[in-house]
Amino acid sequence: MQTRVLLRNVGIPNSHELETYVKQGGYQALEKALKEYQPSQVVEIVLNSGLQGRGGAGFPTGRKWTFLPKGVYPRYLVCNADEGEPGTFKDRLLMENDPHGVIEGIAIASYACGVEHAFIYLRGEYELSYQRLHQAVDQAIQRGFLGTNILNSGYSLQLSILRGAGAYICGEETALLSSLEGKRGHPKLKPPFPAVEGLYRKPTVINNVETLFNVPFIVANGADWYRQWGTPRSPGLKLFCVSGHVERPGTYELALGTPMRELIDEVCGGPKDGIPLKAIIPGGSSTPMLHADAALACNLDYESIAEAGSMLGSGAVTAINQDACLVRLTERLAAFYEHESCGKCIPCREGTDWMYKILHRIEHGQGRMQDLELLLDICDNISGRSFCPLGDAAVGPVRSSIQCFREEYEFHIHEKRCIVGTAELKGVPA
Amino acid sequence: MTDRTISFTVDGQEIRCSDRCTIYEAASAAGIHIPTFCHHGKLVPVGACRMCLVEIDGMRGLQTACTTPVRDGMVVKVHTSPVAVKARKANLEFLLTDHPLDCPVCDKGGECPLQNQALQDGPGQSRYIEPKRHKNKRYPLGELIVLDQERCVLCWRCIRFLDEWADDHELDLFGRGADTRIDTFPGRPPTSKWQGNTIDICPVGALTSRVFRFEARVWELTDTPSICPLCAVGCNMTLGVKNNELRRVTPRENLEVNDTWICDRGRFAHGFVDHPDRLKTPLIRRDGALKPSTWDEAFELISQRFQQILEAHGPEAIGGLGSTRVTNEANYLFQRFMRSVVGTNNVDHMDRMPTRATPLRALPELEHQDVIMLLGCDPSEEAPLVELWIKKAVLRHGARVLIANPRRIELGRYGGPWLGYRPGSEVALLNGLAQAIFAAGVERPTAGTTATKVTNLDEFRASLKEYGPQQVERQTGVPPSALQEAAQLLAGARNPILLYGVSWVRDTIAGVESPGVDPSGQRLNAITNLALMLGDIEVGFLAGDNNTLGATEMGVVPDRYPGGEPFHDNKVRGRLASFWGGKLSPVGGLDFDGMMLAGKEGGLKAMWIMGTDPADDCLKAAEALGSVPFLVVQDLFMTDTASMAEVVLPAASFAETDGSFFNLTGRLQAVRAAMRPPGLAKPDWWIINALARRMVDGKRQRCWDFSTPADVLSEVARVIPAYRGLDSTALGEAGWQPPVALAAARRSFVRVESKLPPVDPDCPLVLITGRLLYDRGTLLRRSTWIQELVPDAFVLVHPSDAEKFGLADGDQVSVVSARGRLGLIVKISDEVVPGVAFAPLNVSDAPLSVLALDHRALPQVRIRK
Repeated sequence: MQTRVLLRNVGIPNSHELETYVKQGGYQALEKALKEYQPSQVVEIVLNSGLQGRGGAGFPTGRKWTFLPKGVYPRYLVCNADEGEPGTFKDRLLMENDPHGVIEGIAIASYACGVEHAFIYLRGEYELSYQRLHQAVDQAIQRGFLGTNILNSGYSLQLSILRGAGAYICGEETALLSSLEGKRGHPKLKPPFPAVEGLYRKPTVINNVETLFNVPFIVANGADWYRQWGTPRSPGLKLFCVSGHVERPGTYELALGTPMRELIDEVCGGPKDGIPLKAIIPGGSSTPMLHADAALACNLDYESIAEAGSMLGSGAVTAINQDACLVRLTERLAAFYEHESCGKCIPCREGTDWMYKILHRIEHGQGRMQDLELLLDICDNISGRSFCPLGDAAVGPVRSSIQCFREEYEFHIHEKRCIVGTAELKGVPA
Repeated sequence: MTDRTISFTVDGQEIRCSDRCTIYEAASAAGIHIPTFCHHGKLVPVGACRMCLVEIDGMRGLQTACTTPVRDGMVVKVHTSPVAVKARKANLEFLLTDHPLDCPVCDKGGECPLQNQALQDGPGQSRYIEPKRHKNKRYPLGELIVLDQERCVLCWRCIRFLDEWADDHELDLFGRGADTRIDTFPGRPPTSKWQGNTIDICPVGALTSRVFRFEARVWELTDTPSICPLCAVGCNMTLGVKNNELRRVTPRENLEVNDTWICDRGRFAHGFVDHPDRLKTPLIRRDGALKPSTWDEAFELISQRFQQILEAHGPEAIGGLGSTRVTNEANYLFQRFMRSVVGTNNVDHMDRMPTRATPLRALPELEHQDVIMLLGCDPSEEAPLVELWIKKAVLRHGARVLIANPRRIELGRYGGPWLGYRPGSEVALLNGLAQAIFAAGVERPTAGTTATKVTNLDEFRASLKEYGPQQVERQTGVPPSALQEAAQLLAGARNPILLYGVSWVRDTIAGVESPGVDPSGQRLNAITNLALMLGDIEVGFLAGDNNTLGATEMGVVPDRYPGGEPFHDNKVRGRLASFWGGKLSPVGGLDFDGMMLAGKEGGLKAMWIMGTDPADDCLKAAEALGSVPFLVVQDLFMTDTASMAEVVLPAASFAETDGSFFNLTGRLQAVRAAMRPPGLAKPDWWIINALARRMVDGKRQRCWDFSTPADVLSEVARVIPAYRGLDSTALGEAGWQPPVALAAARRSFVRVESKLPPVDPDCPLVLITGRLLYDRGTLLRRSTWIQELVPDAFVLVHPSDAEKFGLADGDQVSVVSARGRLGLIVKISDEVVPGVAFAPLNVSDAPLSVLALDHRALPQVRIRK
């Protein structure tokens, strides 16, 4: 069942305007936090709510906040709005349609963490998001929801919006911080973790847009209220971005733990044109793809999809039907990772390049049977060896597609053409 | 934070080390090799190349040894972990996919970590059948370095060296992923003085030297440890010689001197050694021209003429000038010859170190100084390694660099404050600074051990009454804000140091003589006062040349014997005579100025000048030497002085002789003959010894039978009490720091007063000079590659003076003094203070010395279009 909690304002005319937001009850959670709670109490509430990072890693948000070393100031909060994972477009929806919700989340989280200067690191391509956020920040300052002495509470917060320049790697938190400091977007060594030494070498909290967006709801209604949705280990609500071969692709709000089948068949109206699905990428392009049947048997929570061998990730579900060529699809994804590898470490820089070249060759009828073992070996040589998770991400689609759909590769290599649309297509294995 | 000793194992081998080590450091120290590309012991670890992945029991996945700290009880597997071994081999395979594998034509071949690693772990056959990526090859990065982006493995050691040590952010990564390239910023070729070091630390042949490129395969070079002769730091280096030609200079690690680095002058400016202009035979003037001759003829002639002059005019009619550039052994024998064979104390050298100057104690200590005050010196151009140590203090520990100089030198980039004083107002400046420190109410002067011994603090304080900030501004031009900021910094410093250079003690203003005043002594006293009131902090002199200290130490001065022993002490004289033979004169000798005066007035009938070119440096000397009837000059090239000589003797360069130099911290370091001198040229010590044997009779010849420079050094060790026990083997490869002879520290303040020189209304600018790293001096002129980096001769003036004289940037102008004029190009900049013009030495075709009679006097000039 879809809920309309997080997305309550989306679809309302002028939902991005402050007036609309306030009319809908906006900024009341901020006022409540400032007037009724000590910062530590806000942390406590979020901790109890079980909110997990919605950017992909799913790390408990409240715990992340407790990692800030005591007594070290200034501290910074960075809202990671560099939504770059292919298939993911939930943050954009929020920023374009409900920018004040993002700002309120940032303000409450900043208050909880003792931050007086927060940053939004925004994906460079998100022009409308930028305009909307920019306007919203101005409006919020004018009305005393941001800036000095917010709502006469004595608490002040400055919020700066910085735009990225188009690098996927800058969604990785340490690369993001480098970029924010005006440096090349390279991931940095951890430790020190950003919570201890982050932006400008100061303690820094980095949260995804959707994560922060949840915070006002939790603070307004309490942890127990939030836990009415989801599973004990994955509580709450989540936005799912469905793309690919379904009747109604889009962003949907569901309780965590909702069956995948319900999302695909009911919420999204089932496979497009009734053509059966072959594969589903459950959590963004870097999560291993699953056979459609295996995926449809999962529930949409962190633990269930992990059991099936993939990850919930950012909640970007990509449905792939039998008419799609998985070799071609994997080649495209490999091209993406080859293009986005930052170049810092050898395995990712050279490995993604090599994988793409091989896949390109196979797709163009120049494949050799030993290329499949070679690809899997390259996957082994990248994963767990690269400097940051980008290497592992790049391996996800290649390894899983060869493991799940090897026959398509073999057909390409033997026949120098695609299995899709041929009599040899055996359909989806069970 | 104190460190603790812990114990852990690598491949089953137990290692005990400090808990501050990384796995890589501890394993390397224990002799376990872990391959790396990005890691370099002198750079901050980045963990980028993933070559050093190791397996650690209890930790998920593999960890980089270069970034993981050791822990007690850790079990690390490097070569015994199949996973780690596979990861390493895979990484190497990855690297080689896009590497051009052009080892046969690559300069790095033979000393290439990638080549070595490929040999050890690389796949015999490649699994890579895709087309290789193409990037820029043979791509000059400025005048000195060639970049091959295809060979590059993107370890960015080069970028990190320039960032972390040189603080010159001139290289960076461009592009992304496999298309990443090292490059310079568009239109901005590197200008760092430290570029060459990137060649050494490049783990592949991506960065190669334009000077050494294709000169030799590295295994064909014969390497000889040596010392750089181009400044007073004395960087340790290795000379790579092939076919008796000096092909390559690389740094040699010495943590007490140059760490692992050398500047680009030291590395690239060695072209003079093999230059065809080198003097190859003795020359004798016949019919007005210098004609090639033989050693025998030359010695015969010199010997005869010296004997004639001795008989006709006595020993005082002969004088000798030694050098701040030749070896100790040569200088020692030179003064020994003048004193025992000729029998005179007329021996000196130019640019002598002030008697009371104490050298800087140790270079590495600079890193831990929190305020470094530079007075009248410019380490970046004069002694580059000093700059590097200062940058280390700034970059790693936030030190402040205080600059007292009429020119805002390069180190002014760290925000100073810059105390830009007018030349001649040095004493006023330091008195003002002392006064400002007192005014800041600083406890410092009364703290520490010195205070108890300093007797006249109050008296000193009272003497500064006239030096309030406003008064000092009137005299020096330094704004009170800068003076007060400097005072605050010094007062609050934990560990400050004062460093002063040659121009601080040497420069006077031409035409402004104040009889009875010793400006150099006054300025030294002013520094000592400041040091005393700050708690007797260290004061260091930055010497000008590679053996400035040695020339004095070896006794090439008229009033002291080797080791600084007084010449009028009969016991000393007697002892030395027993070593040297002959009778030593009890009469004081002429110093440089005295000899020039005597030369001009006809009292000096002969001079022997070794390794120095006074005629070029000093107008007064050029005039005087013209009047000396018999001039013998010994040098590498036909210098201005040599061209005036009756006999010219061809000497060996630093690369062609054994010997030793004292560097600016007083460290004794050895050079070794790496090659044969050209033609008939001979080492200085050999020439002196041979001439002496020719001139003395049979019995005394026994005193002149040195067969190697090592023999000379062992005599020095017997003659100078402080060096007892020293021989050339004690120098080893790292040199020898003599036990510090602590000068009797002055324990009281000396009142110093400042008298501002009057400004000549016709010539209102004082022209200051200074060395640049790259110039057209005798040696560097013969180093082709470096010449491209020498700026066109210029004179720098302040915008307000430019306006006064109606000058525009780039104008061709005449700089006119009471003595002469010089054509230069004007540069307008506020890097100099108003009333001062700066022109670099040895850059223009005509020497700056035409503008003043004495090279130590700053000419007052005007500038016209």
